[in-house]
Amino acid sequence: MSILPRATYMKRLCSLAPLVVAFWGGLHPSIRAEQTAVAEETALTPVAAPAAEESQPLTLNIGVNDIYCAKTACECISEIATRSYNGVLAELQKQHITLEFTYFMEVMDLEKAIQAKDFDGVLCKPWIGVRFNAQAARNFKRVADILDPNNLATMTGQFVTAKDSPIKTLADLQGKRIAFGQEDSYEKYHAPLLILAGKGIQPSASRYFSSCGENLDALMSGTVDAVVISSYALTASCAVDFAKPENFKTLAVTAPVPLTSVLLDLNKVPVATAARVQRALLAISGECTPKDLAGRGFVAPASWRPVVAPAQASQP
Amino acid sequence: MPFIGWLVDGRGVPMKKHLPWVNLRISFLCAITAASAAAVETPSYKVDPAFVTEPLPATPVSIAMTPQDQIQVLLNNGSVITYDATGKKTAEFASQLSIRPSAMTLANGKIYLLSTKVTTEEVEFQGKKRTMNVPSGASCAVYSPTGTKEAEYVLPEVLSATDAHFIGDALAVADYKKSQIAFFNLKGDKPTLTKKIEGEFRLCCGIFDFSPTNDSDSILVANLGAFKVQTFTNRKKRAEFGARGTTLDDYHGCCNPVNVAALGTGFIVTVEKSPTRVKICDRKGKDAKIIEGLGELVNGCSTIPVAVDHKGAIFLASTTKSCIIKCVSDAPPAGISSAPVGAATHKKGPAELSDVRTWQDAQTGNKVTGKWISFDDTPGPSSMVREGKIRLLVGQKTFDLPLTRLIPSDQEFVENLCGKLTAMTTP
Repeated sequence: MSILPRATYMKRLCSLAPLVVAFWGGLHPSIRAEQTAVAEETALTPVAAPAAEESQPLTLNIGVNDIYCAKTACECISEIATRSYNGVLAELQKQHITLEFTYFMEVMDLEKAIQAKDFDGVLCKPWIGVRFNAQAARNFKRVADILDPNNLATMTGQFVTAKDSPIKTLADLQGKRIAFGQEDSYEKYHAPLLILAGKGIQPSASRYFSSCGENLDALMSGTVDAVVISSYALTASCAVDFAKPENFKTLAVTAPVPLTSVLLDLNKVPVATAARVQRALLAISGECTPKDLAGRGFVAPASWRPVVAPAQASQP
Repeated sequence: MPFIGWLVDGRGVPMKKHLPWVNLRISFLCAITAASAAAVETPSYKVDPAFVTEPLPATPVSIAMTPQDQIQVLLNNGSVITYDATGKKTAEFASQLSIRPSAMTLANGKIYLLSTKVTTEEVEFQGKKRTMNVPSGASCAVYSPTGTKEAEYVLPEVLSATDAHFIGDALAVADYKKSQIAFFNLKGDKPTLTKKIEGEFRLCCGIFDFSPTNDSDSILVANLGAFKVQTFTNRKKRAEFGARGTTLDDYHGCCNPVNVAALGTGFIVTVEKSPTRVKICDRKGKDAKIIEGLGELVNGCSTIPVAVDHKGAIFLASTTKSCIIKCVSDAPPAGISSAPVGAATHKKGPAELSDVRTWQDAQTGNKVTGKWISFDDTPGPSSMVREGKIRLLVGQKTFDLPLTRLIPSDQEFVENLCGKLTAMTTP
């Protein structure tokens, strides 16, 4: 390598700067993915928590947005979103725990409340809470995951295309138009983008919609070739009314992520108290689950360390 | 401009069926107004505290404006109540249909009540069988203003009627179950299906609302599952806007907007539920302004019937408040209802005479997509066709095309509008 005069060297370096910035800024997600720091564990580790005084009255205010809760789900899925927390709250009262629930139909309103530090905890898709840990100086930890009506604690993001599409595998998405979720959705944004980056698959155009319905509309309208949707989108979202599962095929799925969790903000709630709530929730699960919860209740949170994908610039 | 403002249908939109030339004249002026709307700030609206109705005796299903700007409300018990401009009840009748009506529209001094027939079916959901009420057909009953039933039709190829309006001469019916808007010719013994818009709508929650616009061939559709407002002209999708998101121009919730209406000034009213949000935006969905102080107008996923009068007032039917709410603009009335042409045209310039459409050269077969615009800001045939040419706006550039170069259907489109305007302006 020949040694360039300092001025020439700096000039060439400067001329490369925009390219480096663009490259680093998200045009090649695989590069950024490798730079992501080791993700933080989101599950509460109760073994580290000393037992709290079980008989002392405890009151926590909780923001709720739950796919399967009748108070926060759309009426078009009222057949499946039948969950009520009345039974759970009543059982917790017997353990001197009062959870004051505030229900949010609109998840974006819950996010505003989280940023405003309005709640001791949240009951929702865990990414809604934990993504604010760094952004809004919160410290949400999952104290329990909630089983869905099919007794599953996790969901996935799904790469989906039309049933009659020539696209058959994930590799076929190279150079295709794909609609993803937005950064507030782990399974529709971070997880699938990291998968594509890891496999070196580059869409020709990417769009980032806020709802599964918009993604499916784009696919059905032919403006994209494939979409990423939540695994419950075709069974427990408004899309059930206009998108039938038999009209789509799944190309790939992301790793499972927790579906719905009870998260407490350890900046507001002592670890010992969080552990007490965890024990109480697990105690009213399985055979003891109140019927109105529509499922077998709560399970201890599985380990989940979400890795953040780099921000993407939406392309038309 | 005393000649306008007295022939409007349920959404304050001119009714072609009465006097076509009036509609055309209004369309021309609306085109000018709409063209200028882009340059005008979105008007702010507020609740009119002077307008108060008695509590509604049942859930409101549909709302429409009479040509005299009286408010007619269809309730889910089948009764139709009329209110004057102050909110005072002036008339009421019970439709007494065997099937409760599900939509209402007004035209020709008649009240059209549309009903959805329901049958019970066993359906499988998530592996479980259960009995559900399923829409299985729609009919339309015609009433006089005093409540005398004059006719009743079965609407072929429609399973549910969730909204209805007259678009030109055609009765347009939103059919949630079949995800279509069906257009009917009501002349003759039986309604005749003339055209459909289908395959475009992502509907949910049993909600499907649309609105006439200033253009007698166009409709606005609230495509709530896609979070979009779409404009269709002659069955073709011409424009759309909207997305789920956090800005005021976006829509929120699981599916929105649930209702939509076009103001005479070219601005658009969008209505969202869960939580309620009523906004005014421009034709591209931008510069949205929210109407403050409305509170929750419905519980859960329900439609919020909306109508506008020819003065630009907005009327909303609330289930939770059990009343009709009137919203008025902070600004002085503008647009077609009260302002003279010069005042309505906020900036000097050509008027948009058509939406974006495809024009074809008869000789070469070449196609160009653009808006037909006037040569200047003088309303009248002379500015629409000049020296045998029309002016198109393609992107940001204008092109003058000889009328004779266009294919016959394009020539007919131009001549049709020009001919009517000539007749209109001839004493």
